[in-house]
Amino acid sequence: MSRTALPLFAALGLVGSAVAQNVSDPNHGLRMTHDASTGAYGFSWWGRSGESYFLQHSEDLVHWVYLPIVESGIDQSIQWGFTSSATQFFLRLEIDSDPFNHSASGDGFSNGWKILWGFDPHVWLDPVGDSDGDGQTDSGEMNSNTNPRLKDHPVVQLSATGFILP
Amino acid sequence: MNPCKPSPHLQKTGYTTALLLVWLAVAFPCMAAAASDGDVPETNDDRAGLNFQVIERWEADVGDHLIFYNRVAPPAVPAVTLSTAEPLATNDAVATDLREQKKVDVLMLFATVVDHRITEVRWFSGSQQYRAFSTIDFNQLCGLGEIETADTVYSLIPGVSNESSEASGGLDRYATEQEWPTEAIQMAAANQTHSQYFVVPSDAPPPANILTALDALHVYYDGHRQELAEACAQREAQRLEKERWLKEHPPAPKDTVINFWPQKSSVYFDANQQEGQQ
Repeated sequence: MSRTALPLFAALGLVGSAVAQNVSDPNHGLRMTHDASTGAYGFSWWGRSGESYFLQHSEDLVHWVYLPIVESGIDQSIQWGFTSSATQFFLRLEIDSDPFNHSASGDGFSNGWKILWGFDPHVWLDPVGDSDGDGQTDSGEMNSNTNPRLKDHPVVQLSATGFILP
Repeated sequence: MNPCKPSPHLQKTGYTTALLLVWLAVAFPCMAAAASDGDVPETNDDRAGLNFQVIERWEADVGDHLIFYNRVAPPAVPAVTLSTAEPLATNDAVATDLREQKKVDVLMLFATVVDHRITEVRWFSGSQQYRAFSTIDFNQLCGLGEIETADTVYSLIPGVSNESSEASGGLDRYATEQEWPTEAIQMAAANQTHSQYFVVPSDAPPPANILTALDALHVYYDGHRQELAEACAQREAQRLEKERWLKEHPPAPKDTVINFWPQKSSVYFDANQQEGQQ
């Protein structure tokens, strides 16, 4: 397994400070802020060049779900906004130096690709499996940049951000 | 298209893997197709007063309820209504007040309490981590919101965990296993009438203001030991009572809606850009 990802921090108490992060902050300056006027939360950290980031959410610190986000560090702060209807929620950050070449489960699918399509990178995915049952294997879907989650969908392309192009 | 309803084969069950427990998301996010056909749903968050345009939606089954995840376009912030009321104080008065006020800071301490007898305390200053040992049971400080020094009011944020030395065969052995410094072991063994702490030497001297805050914390503890202990016992009793009540009256699980959007991103788009136009 060539993965070098690192779980950074299970979030966290709220920190009221709105001061932006910088490169010398420990734990990448990871923090959560609350906007009292909207009730929204900001989850931010310092994105270091050469690192990519995955976000995970939990309500109980037991069940963690990857959000389909792969962020890239360019020596700037990165921030995502959140609202939740639950009474509590937790976020944590995972670091991967090369998300589209590492495969945490050793199944040949990259961590980044699996996260963007809603798979867990740590769970082995059968390369000859067909998650959407459209006749094309998941590895075939990856190689042809098609959606492994959508049956009989017209051919779509995966952009660098993982969004579906019409 | 209804993006809330992924096809049945996407309704994946949970899984666990002990070795990778730290890493794993045990609930599998069931990706729904992205709303690429123009059928873009909207969702409101009543608590936030925000309207969201959903770009992508999927759900995760976490056992007793579902979590709906909405990746949304950055919401417009509601317009602020300016008050026309007369100002309560003049600028000079505010400036005077500010001069008279103490500085406000946050004291974030990570505490590991062992056997309710001694606490290992860690904190950061810049990238430097510091470590100290205190005879205070930091569980008793959880109700303490702030601590004040001569010039600063610190909001106290103690992250407290508890350890037992039982498995090690006693505190002495535990301390040896954990490679505690001798001073900490002696401090834990001694019967103290006053609280004490010991800062473990590090590469850089700890900031003086933190030591002043720790001094103030220990002085406060010694002066309020009884009431802190009583408050702690009361909190614990309330917690147990709540736990018992919840066991007898378990709340019906509610589904959750999470909305999330990029605010500062190197990859994703801001509110005025469209998907795929990077």
